[in-house]
Amino acid sequence: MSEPHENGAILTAEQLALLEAIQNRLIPAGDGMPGAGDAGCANTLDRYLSERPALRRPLFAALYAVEAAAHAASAAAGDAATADESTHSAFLLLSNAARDDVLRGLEKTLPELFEVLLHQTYTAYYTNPAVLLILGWNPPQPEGYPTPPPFDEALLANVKQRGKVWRDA
Amino acid sequence: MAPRQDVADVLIIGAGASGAAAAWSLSSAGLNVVCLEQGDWIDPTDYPHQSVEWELHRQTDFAKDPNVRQRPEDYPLNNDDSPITPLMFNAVGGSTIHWSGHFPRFRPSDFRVKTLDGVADDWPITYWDLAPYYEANDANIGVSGLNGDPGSPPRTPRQTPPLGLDAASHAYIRGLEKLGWHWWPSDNALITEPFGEGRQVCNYCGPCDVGCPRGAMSSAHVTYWPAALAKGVQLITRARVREITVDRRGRANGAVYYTADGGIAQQRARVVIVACNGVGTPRLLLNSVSGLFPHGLANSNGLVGTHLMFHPVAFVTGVFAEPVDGHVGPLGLLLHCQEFYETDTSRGFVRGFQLQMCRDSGPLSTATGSFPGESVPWGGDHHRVQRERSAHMLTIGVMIEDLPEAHNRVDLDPTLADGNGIPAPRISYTVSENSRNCLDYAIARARELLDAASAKEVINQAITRETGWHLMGTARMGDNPATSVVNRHGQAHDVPNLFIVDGSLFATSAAVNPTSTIQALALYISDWLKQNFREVA
Repeated sequence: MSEPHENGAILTAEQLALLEAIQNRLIPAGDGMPGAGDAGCANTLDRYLSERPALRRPLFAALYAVEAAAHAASAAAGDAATADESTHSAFLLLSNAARDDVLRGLEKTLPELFEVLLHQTYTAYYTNPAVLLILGWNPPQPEGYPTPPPFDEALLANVKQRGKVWRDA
Repeated sequence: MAPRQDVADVLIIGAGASGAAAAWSLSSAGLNVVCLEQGDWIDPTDYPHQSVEWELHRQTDFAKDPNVRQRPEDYPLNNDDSPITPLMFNAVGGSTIHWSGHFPRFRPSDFRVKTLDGVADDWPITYWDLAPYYEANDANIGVSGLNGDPGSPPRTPRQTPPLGLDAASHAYIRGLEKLGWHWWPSDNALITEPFGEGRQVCNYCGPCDVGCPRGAMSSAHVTYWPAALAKGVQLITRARVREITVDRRGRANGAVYYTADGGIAQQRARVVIVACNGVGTPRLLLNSVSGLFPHGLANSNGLVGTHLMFHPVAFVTGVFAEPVDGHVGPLGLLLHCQEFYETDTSRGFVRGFQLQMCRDSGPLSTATGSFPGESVPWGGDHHRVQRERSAHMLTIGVMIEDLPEAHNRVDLDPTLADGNGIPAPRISYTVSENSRNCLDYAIARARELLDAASAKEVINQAITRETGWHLMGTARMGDNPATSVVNRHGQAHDVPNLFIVDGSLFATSAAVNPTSTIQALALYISDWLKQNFREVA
C-alpha cells in the first residue's frame, strides 16, 4: 500500500474528472466535511487501481455505465449538448439532482458495479488524513485509549444468585 | 531435492495455535522437534495500527480472507459452494495473529451431545479429561478474566484481571440485567497486567483482528514459540509442505516441502504431527497420495475432509443515542451470555448458542456497515447518519453450534492450486435446518437484548458470509475406526505414527470459540505421545 504513486497513473484526466464528480455526489460537501471528490479521493482510487489490477475492470465498467446513463438522460431531456466540451462527459453537464438520479439508477440496475464505486470511495474518504483530522480520529497506535476503571464484580450479584447454568456430563 | 536432514523425533506441520503448543510440550520432554511453516514471522512494525490507512490494510494485505489477502504464503480456496468463507492467517502464530482472542472453554455437555440430546456424536474424551490441559494452557499463555462463571465448571483464578468497565460494558449490562439473563466477563487470550517476557499490556486500541503490535494478545508467536525455540525446536519458515511421505510399512516418515526459493526439500521424522487447521489438514492428507494410500493418507474410510463445521454467525448491531465508544477496547472481547446454551427443544432446535458482546471499529467500518454490512447511505444524508453511528454502535456476535454432517466437506479442487502447484481446497457446505432455526431464534434474542439495552435502532443480517474463523471436524476423533479418522489420542487409525492436533479433531463444535479447546487438545495429545513415544515411534 505504500508504493510511490503518480496521480493519473491509470485513469485519464477525463476519467479522474468524472470520478471526482461522482464522488462529490456519493459523499457531498456539508456538515463541515469536504466532498469526497474535493478531498482527492479520485486520485486515491487511481492509486488503488495501480496497486490492485483486479479493481480496474469493474471500476471502468461503472464509469462507462454512469456515462451511458447520463447521455440517455440528456437525450431524453432533449438537451442540445450531451457531453461537456473539455471532458467529453455527459455526467458533468447534469444538475446535481440529475446526477443523483443517474447514480440511483446504477445502484438499482447494476448494484455490483455501484458497490465497487461506493465502497472504494468510502475507503478512500475514511482513510484520508485531512478527513480523519476533521473527525478527530487518530490511528489506533501508539497511544491507544485510556484504560477504563477496573471491572466491578458487584455487578455480577444477580447472575451469581441465579446459580449454575451448565449441565454436568 | 536438497540432501536429507537428520531424522527428527517429531515433525510438526504448521506453526499456529496447536502446532506451537505441541512443539513446546514435546520439546520440554527433550524430544528433537522440527516444525515446517508455510508463512513467516510477522514483524511487529508491519502491523498497520500506526497508519492512517489501517482500515484499508484490513481490506487488503491484512484481510481475514486469504482469497482477498493473496500473500505469497496464502493458498487459494474454492468457496463457490459455501455460504460461509473460511478465514485464516498463514504465519508463525497462524490465525492467532488475526483473531479476537475470545477464549471460552467448551462445557461438559459439549462432549456428550449424543448421550444428552440424541444428535451427532459423543467425543471419545470428556471435559474432565481436558480440564487439566485447559488450566495448563491458560497458565502458559496468559488469560484475562474472572473465575466463578456459573456458566462453566470452576477454574483457577485467571492470570490477569478482566477488561475494565467502559461505556460499552455499561450498555450491555443494562440490557442483560433488565432481562435477567446469564452473563459474565469473557475469558480473553489477552493480558491486562504484565505477564510473560517482552509483552505489553492491552492499551484498548481496538482492532485486534489485524494483529497486536504490543504482544498483549496471547498469540502463539509471543507465547509458545519463544519458549519452544529456547528448548531447541527447529522452526523452518516459508516451508510449504507438498505431502507427507510413508515407508513400505505404511508409516509416516517425513514430509516433502517447497522452500522459499522454490526448491524442494525433505524432512524425515519418526513421528509426524499435522497442525494445519480444519481446512489445511484435510487438504494435506488428501494431497498425500501413495500406493498404500491411494485416496489420501489416513483416509481408508473416506472420512478425511468430511463433517466440516464452521460456527454459523450472525451479527446484530445496535445504534445507541448516546456514545458507547464502540471503537475503544478489544474489538471482539467484552462479555458473553450463555443463557441459551443448553438444549431446550421447545425453541425449535437442538443444542444452543452464545451471544458474544463485541464492540465496533473505526470510521470506515462504520461507513461500510460494520459487522452486519449495512452501509451508511450515500448522498445528502451521509454525514448525518455517519455522525449518528460513529462511536454509537455495538455488535453482538450470535454464534451457534454447528452439528457435524458428512456432506459438509473439504476436498481438492480439480484445477485450482497454490503458488507451488499444490491442489487447493474446495469447500462444500450448507447450513442445516437446525442451524437456521437456531440462528433465527438467536438473532431474535440478540435484538431483544439490544432493545433492552436501549438501542434506538437494531440492524442485522440472517447470516454473515465472512465468518469462517472456526474450522473444525474434518479429521474427527473417535474410538471407532469406521466412523472417525483419529483415536482419542489424536493418533490416525490408519497410520500409528501420524497425529493430528488442530480443530480437525473436533467430533462436535460446541457453540463457543474453539482455540482454547484446540490448544488444550494439543497439550493433551502431546502428553500422551511423550509417555508413549518409544512404542509409537
